[in-house]
Amino acid sequence: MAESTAERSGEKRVLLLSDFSIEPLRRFLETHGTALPLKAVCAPYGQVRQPLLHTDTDLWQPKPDACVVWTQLESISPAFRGLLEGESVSHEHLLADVREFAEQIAAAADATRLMLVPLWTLPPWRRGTGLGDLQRSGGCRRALLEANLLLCEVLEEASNAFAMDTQRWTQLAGHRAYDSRMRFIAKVPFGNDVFRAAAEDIRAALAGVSGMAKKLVVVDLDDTLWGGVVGDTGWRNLTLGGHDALGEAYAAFQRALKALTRRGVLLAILSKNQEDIALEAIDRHPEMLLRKNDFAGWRINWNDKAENLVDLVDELNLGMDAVVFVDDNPVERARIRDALPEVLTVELPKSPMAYAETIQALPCFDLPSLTQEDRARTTSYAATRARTELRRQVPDRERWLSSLDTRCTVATLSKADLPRAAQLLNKTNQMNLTTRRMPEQALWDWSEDAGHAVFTFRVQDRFGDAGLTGLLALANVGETAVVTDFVLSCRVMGRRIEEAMLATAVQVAQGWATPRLCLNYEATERNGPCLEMLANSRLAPGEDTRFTWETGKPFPCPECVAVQWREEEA
Amino acid sequence: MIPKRSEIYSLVSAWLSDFAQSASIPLAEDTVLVGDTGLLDSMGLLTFLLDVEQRIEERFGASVVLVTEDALAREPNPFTTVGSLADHVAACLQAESGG
Repeated sequence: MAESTAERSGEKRVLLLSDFSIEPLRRFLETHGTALPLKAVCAPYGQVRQPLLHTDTDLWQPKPDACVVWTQLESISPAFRGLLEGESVSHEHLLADVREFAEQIAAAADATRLMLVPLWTLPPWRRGTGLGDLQRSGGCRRALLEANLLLCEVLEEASNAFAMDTQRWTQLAGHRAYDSRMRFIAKVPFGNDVFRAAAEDIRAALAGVSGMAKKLVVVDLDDTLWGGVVGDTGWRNLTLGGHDALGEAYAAFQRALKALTRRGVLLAILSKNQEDIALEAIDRHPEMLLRKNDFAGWRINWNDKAENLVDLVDELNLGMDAVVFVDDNPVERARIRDALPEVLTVELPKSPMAYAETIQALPCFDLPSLTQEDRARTTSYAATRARTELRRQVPDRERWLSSLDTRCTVATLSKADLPRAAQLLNKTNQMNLTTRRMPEQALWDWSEDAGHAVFTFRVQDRFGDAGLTGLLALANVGETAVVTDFVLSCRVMGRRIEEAMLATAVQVAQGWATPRLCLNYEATERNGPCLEMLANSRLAPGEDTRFTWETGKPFPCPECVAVQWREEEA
Repeated sequence: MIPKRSEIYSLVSAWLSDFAQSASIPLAEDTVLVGDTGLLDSMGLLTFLLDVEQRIEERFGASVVLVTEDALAREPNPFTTVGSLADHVAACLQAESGG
């Protein structure tokens, strides 16, 4: 299928369905923020159910990257409208209205990559029955809570549908959250700042599913991770934890960073210090919540921080656009902003008491779901650091690879592995043959089609389990087995897993009795490493960037990788 | 202290450029805000006016209401051009200060 202009330019398409005039959201989505160009399209005013029930219309073409369904509960549920007007209504009728609508949204979710549904709210002047408003009999806010909960539950049945927290947006907007003039003049129930906050969250959601979420937070030490200058005062005199307001603030900041690591975000240190003194503080200070193993890497020296950051990010095999930089020193922040504009440099507030909330409020880490691999990422990078240390001790690369005792477990794609497999497919840029992106359900449906096969690769070595880090998809096309996806996480790149995957692909082709295996490389800005790997492999280069293997002979699997097949799960 | 009309005009122009993402379009006193030849559609104008109210409060600590039934119905309309909007903002600030 031919790519549209929008697809080529990376522009995301957002469809807006609402029972109020949602034009301000369209404006803020399109005109604020440059990292992710967006084109937002509003359905005709007031049309919500009709587009949800007819996803084969032009409105849904090309397929939206996100569809936002933002309604008011009184429009969706006659029962709730009655409740607002003081009528006695059946609780069951209210929930039936909600369930019917939520199921319509969930059923339409296949027509978009991401279905986003802001929760229903009521303006603060709606006091309902006062004290009884949170009681089941006649309480409007009680009904609102239950309706929102049911909405969330039904949406969870669709893997790409998510409720969004409208109340947070109204809190951010403060007294400007609701404006009666806009409600009556323009049929807009919210003030501008509510739409601004919504636009920011929608952008973050799109960035998350597009593999653009930030992956690494690089922090300074003195007066950032702790109070004081460790080189001057020694670690015993740092301000951290204890019965001290500032100490508690630094501890809260560390706690916020630790929580990020549980979301799959890596931490690293960039500090102008003497390394042994700084690391001693991290190891020995009793109030430190972050220890050496919480950091994927560090550069602690007196060199330029921009140069150090480039070096560190290169070591971690990440792109600069995946990095968040946190430093209390405005001069260092200015240096990074100037030298590395693609890095998100956080404008830390002057008071350390606001450090934790500043980090927690960042939307750039948002991911739709977390896999086991995400949660264990820091552990995995710590293992990588240990591997690198070993490599320094064992200069010969082959001996080093053999010493890792790498085991690769291949399995047919299962439902249990589907979330991680889809995440890998949609986030991997470097070792990716075609950079084909598809949501979970589409990947599963594709794998189930006749003549298609999808395999996952789990990699372990003596330092740890890297988890599901490889994906291979093949299509049986007559005389040729075509590799449609060849994806490997950068965490295990260059360890000859690539050759083990090629050997597996050849085995699959042999099983299909197709005489040829073919890989058609499709270039993107970032998948050069894949072409380099193919060019250096034993595959025969053909026209353009096509590589083949005659399946009459086996493809040699490297001795340093032990490949085993996992039995299919019932 | 009530800002001078020239300062208000400069601020309104800058806010409008930012809002309409029209940095490349030179704004003038007679730049039309809304309509066929305008920078904004009617919904965009309303959204922008609410932003101007908010920015005035943040900058001058003055709570002004630009969008009123009276202002919307007035002839000539104060929201026709950048210059007429600056005049309207100045008048509202003056009224708010009791001047």
